[in-house]
Formats: sequence, structure tokens, C-alpha cells
Amino acid sequence: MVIKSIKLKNFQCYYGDKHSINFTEGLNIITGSIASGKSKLFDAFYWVLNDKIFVTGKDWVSTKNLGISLVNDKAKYDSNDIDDLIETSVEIVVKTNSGRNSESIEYTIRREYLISRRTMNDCFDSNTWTISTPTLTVEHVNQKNSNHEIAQGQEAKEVIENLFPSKISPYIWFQGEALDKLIDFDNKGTIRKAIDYISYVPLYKTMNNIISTVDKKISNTARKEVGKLSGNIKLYNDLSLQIENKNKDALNNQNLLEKKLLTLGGRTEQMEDVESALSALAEFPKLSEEKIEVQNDLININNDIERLDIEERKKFSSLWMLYGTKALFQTAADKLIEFEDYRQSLISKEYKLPLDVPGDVYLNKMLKNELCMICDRPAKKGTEAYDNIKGKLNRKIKPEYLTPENEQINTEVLTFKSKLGSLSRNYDSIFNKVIEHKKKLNNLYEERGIFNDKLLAVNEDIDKLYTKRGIDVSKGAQTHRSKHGEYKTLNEDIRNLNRKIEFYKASLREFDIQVSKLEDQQSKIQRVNTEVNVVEEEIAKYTKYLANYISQIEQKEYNKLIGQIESEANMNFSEITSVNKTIDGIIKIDRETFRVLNVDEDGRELQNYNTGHYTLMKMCIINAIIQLTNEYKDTSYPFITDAPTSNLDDKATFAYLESISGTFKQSIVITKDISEDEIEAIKQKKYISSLFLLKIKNNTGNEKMNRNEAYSTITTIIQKN
Amino acid sequence: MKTKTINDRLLESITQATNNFSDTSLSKTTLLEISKKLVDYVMEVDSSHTQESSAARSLENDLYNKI
Amino acid sequence: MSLVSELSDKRLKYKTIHREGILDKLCEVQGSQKNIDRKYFSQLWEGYTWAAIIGFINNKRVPLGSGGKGDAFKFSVINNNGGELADALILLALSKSKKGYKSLTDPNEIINVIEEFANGGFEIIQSKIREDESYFNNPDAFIEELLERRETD
Repeated sequence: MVIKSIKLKNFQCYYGDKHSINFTEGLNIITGSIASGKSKLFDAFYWVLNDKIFVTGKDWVSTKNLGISLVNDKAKYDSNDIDDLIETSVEIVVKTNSGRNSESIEYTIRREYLISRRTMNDCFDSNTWTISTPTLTVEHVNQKNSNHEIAQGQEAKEVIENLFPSKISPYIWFQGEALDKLIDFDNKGTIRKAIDYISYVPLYKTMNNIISTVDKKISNTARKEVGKLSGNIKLYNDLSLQIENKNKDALNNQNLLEKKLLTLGGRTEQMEDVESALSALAEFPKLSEEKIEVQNDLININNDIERLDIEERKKFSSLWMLYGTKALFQTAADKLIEFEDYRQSLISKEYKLPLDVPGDVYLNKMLKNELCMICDRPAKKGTEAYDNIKGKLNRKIKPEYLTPENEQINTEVLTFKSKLGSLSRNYDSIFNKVIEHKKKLNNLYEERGIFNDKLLAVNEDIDKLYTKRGIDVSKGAQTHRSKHGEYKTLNEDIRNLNRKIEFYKASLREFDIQVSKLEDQQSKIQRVNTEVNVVEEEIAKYTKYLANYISQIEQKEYNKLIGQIESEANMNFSEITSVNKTIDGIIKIDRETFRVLNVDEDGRELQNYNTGHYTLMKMCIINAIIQLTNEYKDTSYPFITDAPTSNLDDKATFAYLESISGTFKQSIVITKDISEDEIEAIKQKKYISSLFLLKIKNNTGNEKMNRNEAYSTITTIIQKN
Repeated sequence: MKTKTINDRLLESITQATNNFSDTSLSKTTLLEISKKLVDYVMEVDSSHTQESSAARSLENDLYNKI
Repeated sequence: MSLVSELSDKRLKYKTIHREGILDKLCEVQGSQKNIDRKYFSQLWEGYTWAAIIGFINNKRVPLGSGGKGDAFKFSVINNNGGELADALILLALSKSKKGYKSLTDPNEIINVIEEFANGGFEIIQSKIREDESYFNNPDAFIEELLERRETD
């Protein structure tokens, strides 16, 4: 089957009714940048068929709980009068395959609802509108009488169920987010469900039932007829009766056994859910503890950083800012030395005067007496000796170097010499201290970055607990208690069931033995008339032979199917991993537990998973399941998905797209957010049949728009036929 | 290449399991015919056209006719 | 009276445009070093001294010019709070003063030299800010600038 087209009117971000896409066979790509309306388009597919959309973090939400939120905002905004009607609708045209006995049929499926304005209050308030119930119609042309047939309501639902059986639809289309629930590698039930749906293994049960019913009936009849020819009819019939009764009891027990097995299956699934929930709850305290630890570490680091910063500023403003002035201090030192030298020279000059020159009083006495009292020679006035003595008079009392000015300078020079000394000593340590400080600070910044990342990761993990397991971890102890209670009850149930099942199995084995004994006894009874052929005896040989083998086929085929899923999935997987070297190994499905693993050639489990690995493996398995369904059920479903590769890099994404273009007759892929220049790269790919671009229309002339102004548009870029 | 129908597959699984009826002296043609009929009935039951019980009865009749 | 005590009462003047363009941006007016989000310098004199040092190192001496001298603060503020920095400024002034060691007894000369080199330093800082308005918004910039100074040895 293929999807031929989709038309949207006033659906979410699609304003008005000019939005349609005509799909082709092969790979159809729908692309656009962030918030261009891609997910809403996917919602449209799902909504028209199922009356619900997937809300992130919440799961599938039905229309009646969505109110006016599905209706385009601009349409609501444009409405000006009371009683204004807005129609919201999605219509798809689907074409079935032509079968052996029929032509292909085109079905037009349309879902719509109307809202009508009650008041002129806020157009975005749901109370402003009355909402009609959505209507669903499916139209097609009847092949036999060429009548235009219209199915509505329940009938329409049934047609849709036939076209897209609800068991297969989760695999045909999904959003990247729904993928987690769809195939949960830790939950073996999901793979088992998929296998049960695709495979015709249940048919073997039917086959088994039919042949064994026939076999039993024929055998019974054979026995009766042979009995009539028996030498001891009474004994024969007696034994026959016993055999029949035993068979009846065995059948009874068989039925009971099957019922119990079914119940066991159900309980086991419930158990898995409870275990999953419990482990989520168990994880929470650990995660929340981790979160508190990391938060504390962050507080400590921030305190350390603040302290270092304060220290830095103190040091800067008391010493560090001097860095780079060394040469200048050297010059200052030189100037100080310059003075000292000068002073020293003055001192030296002074010391050229003889030390034993007498004072002025004594000299005046010598002049008065005109006598040198030192060498005891006359010094008459006017003689050289007299002048000599006179010259020594009034000699400056303080030496030249002891002028007030020089003294003052000297004091300052001494002071500043010592200050310079201490400054130099401190100066030398600046550079190393600064570098050390910088290092410490950078280390702290780095550590802080690491802790911030840790905090983000642990918050993400906590969020996942909610979305993944649907547990509200904030309810904590209460949920824990109730889940534990459920666990205990289920455990008890399962134990009891297993006991009963063992009992029935044992009883069936016992019945088998007893019946064989009886049949043996019977066969020992002599026949009276050996020429008469009992036809049932002959037939029974055939039925017994077939019944024997057919009872084992079911298990064999089951295993074979899993093997097929594996190899089909690995074909796709290897195409993609050949371009992305970070993922390798092969996909393996454990036959016992149905767990999905990534193993190397020797079968050893590879541990280097990341989200991208998981996503890829899941998608390969889903593709394998759909492909096998298409083969087995002799039909072909289109493959529709929203952003399945958001966890993969570009190369892996393109490899994946190429591989599905070869796998499915029609696939519709909504890519992850891309920018306009990446579109060119996509256009070049040969394996793309059609390419559609979504964009937000901005007619306002402003860069930013309000909710009532923005809407999406769809442009066809490539369409190969 | 015509894709295998389910009927073909079901039949194939029987012939494979019994190794083409190699381990018995019963008539291979008859076994094959019975298997084919069985498969047809299984498909009828699957498409809800028949109940298992009536399918069993029909097969029984066929057996009487063949043998 | 010692040089230092004579300097204490004297004021260091600077232009108003530098007060507004630089000191107000980088210094808290009321000193407090409690919060990291405060400005890098907790007091005006710190910014001033820093500018003076930059002027000295880059040998940029710009006379204050006449008319509208702007603001001023007492040298004693540096001396009382800055410890060694006051001494360092005096020594730097000594190294550049045309009066040589005689400046040690000429407080007005010391003041003048410091003022003019501080003015030069302000101009250097101003042009850095003009180039990149946000340069000194990042506290790491001060240490960066510090490490960029070369030691001509």
C-alpha cells in the first residue's frame, strides 16, 4: 500500500487549506529547519488515522483532551465575529496494492472538526469556542458496482483498522521519541509482540489443532472398527473406553495448561513492568543523592573561586600592579647612588684639610700676638705667615656636605634606599606568584566545568526516569510501597502458576504413558477377521505421522523467524556501520530472553553503547520487522517516521536513508532539523524520490513574529515519478 | 520472481520438517496432498471464513475420499 | 619634615574625563571587597596608582594642561592604605624627574611627575577601552595586561 497524498487545513501550524503533499513511491523526504512544522506534519498523519497525537513527555493524547490546541493560531486570531466557524481537517489518500483477485483501491480518509466562536474574548482561550466532535469518513469506489461508498464513524474505523492494523502501525510509523517505548531493549515483551504479530507462527498452532483433532477422531474410529473385529470385543471395548476417557482427561488438562500458560504470559509481562518501575524508583534516591553531592561540590568550588578572586584583587592593589617597573627602580636606585657618590666626593674633599688645625679663638690669639703658636715662629702682619693664619679663620663651621639641603636629601636617600631594598625583595616574587595564582584559578574553572556537566547529566537521568518508565519519582515512598506490593503479589501468582503448569505437564505425560499401555494391550488382542481392512487404520497412519511432525514445527519456525529478523536487521546495520566507524559488531537477539544485544564476531557483548547505537539498532530491527511483515503477509506497508536519526551523525543518517530507500516500496521520512544550505547536499542524493521543504512564512517584515502571525508552508523541491 | 505466499511457506515448513517424507513408507504423494489441504484449511480459519472444528471435519472427509 | 609627611597633605590631581571614563568604571567609590561582582578596584586611589604605573612603564608623560583641572585626592590616602605603593610611586617619580635626587626634597616636583605620568597612563587605558569597550569588564584582563608588560632587563 502507498500513501498518495496528504492535505491539511488549519491543523496546528498550517494556516488555511493550501497545504498538501503528493507522495511518490520510493524515498520521500520532508525537511526543514527547527520549528518549521515537521513534527506537526507527522502529527497530522497520526491524527487522521488514530484521533490522537504524540505529546512529548506525555505519550499519545486523544483529540478530546487537546481542545482548541490543534486549531491553527492565525485562524483563531483572524476570526472577528461571534459564530465564526473554523474547520480543522486532515485528509489522506491511500492506495492499496492490487491483489490476485482485486484491483487496487483508493481510499480517501478524512478527519475534521469545527470550532465556533462564542464570545469575543481572548481568541486563544478555549472557553471562547465551542468544539464539535471530530468526524471521520472513509470514501472509496466499490469495484463491483462502481458505487461511491462512504463509511463513517465506527465503520470508518474498521476500514482503517483493515488498512493499518493496529498491531503493525506502531512499527510503520513512529517518532524518534516513541521509539524508546516501541522497542525497549530491556523489555523482552516488545520483541516478542512484534514477532507474534508478523509471523505466521500462530498459524502453526491452528494447523496443529486441526491435524491433531482429525488424528484423534480417526484413531478413535479406527479403534472402534478394529474392536468390532476383535476376538474379545468386551475387553477391547473396555480398553477403548478407558483410552477415550484418558484422552478426554488429557485434552481437558491440555486446555487448562494452555489457559495457565496464557495467564502466565500476562503476569510475566506485568511483572516486567513492575520490575522496570521498581528499578526506576530504586535508581531515584541514588540519582538524587548524586545530584546533591554535585551541587555541594559546585558550591564549594564557587566559594574557592570567589576566595581566590578576592585574594587576587588584594594582592594586585598592594604589590602585583608594580610588575614591569624593575628598570625604573633600577634608575631610581642609580639616582640615589648618584647622590651618595656626590656626597662621598664632598666628604673626600673636606678631608683634605689637616685635622690638627686649631679653632678660631686660638687663631685670633695668634693673630693678636702675631705669633704662630704651633711652630713658634713670628707671624707679623702683612707676612705670608700672618695671612696663612688669617685664612684659616671663619672657615665654615659645618663641612660643605653637611648643608641643610644635602642633609635633608641624605636623610631621604637613606630612607628610600631601604624602602627600595624591601620593595625589590617583594618585587622578585611577583611573577611566580601571579602565574601560580592563574594556574590555581584555571584549575578551579576547569573543575567547575566538569561538575556543571555532571549536574546536567544527572538531571537528564532523573528526567528520563519519568519519561521512560512513566514513574512520577516525586511520589517516592508511596509509589515504592504499592509497586512492591504488586511485585510480591505477582511473584506469588507466578509461582503458583508455574506449579500448576508443571502439574498439568506431568499429568499429560502420565496420560500418554497410560494410553500407550492401554493401546498396547489392545493391539495384543487377536483379531478374528484379518482380511477386512479397516480404512480408518490406514488413514490414521497418515494423520499420526503428520501430527507428530507438525507439533514440533511451531517452535522451529519461531526460531527461524528470529534468525530472519536478525539477518535482515544486520544487512541494514552493516550498510550503515560501514560508513560510521564508531559503531560495529552485529545485532543478536537472545533466543531465551529476547533481549537485543550488540555483539562481536565471537558473540561477546560489546559494551560501548551510546544513544546513537541504540537508536540505530532499534531502527534496523524495526525495518526488518516491517520488511518481513510485508513479505509474509504479502502486502507492503509504507514506512513513515519522524526524525529517526536525530542521534546519528550526517554520514550515518544518509547511509540509513539509502538503505531504507532500497528496502521499502514507499518510505516517508521527516528529517531532523537542518539548515537551508544542507538541503543542497540532500538534493544530490540519487536515492531520493521526492523532497519537500517546510518553512515558516513571515509576511510581517519583522524578524520575530507572534503566534498569530507565523505559519508553515510546504514547498515541493523534487518529485520523481 | 513471484514472492512466496503464506500457503507456500506453510507447506514448505512441513516438507522441510519431514525431509520430504523420507523416513516413512507411506505414499509421498498422498502425504503431500493431505498437507496441501491442511494448509488451505488453516488459511481459511485464519481469514475467519471457517472455524477450526469445521475445518477438521472437512479434512476428515477429504481423507476418507483420498484413501 | 620628611618627604612623605610633606606629601601627605598635597593632592594628586587628575582630569574629570578620566574620572568618568575610567575610574568610575573600574573602582568602587565606597570601598568594600566583599562581593566578586563588584568592580575590580575597591578604592579610587588603587585605580589611580595603577594608571600611574602604566604611564611610568610606557614612559608616557602628559602634562595636565591649564583650566578645569578636575578632581584630586590626598596623597595620604595612598600612603595610609597602599603601604609600599606610595613609596614605589615616589621612587618611580624619582627615576623620571629631571631634578634627579634633588626631587626628594621637592614634594611639588614629586606630585607633578606622578600626576603627569598618571595622566599619560589614563590616556593609554582610554585608548584600550576605545578599541574594545568590554576589555576591562572581564576581571581576568588586569592580570592579562600585567603579564603582557615586558621586563627590560
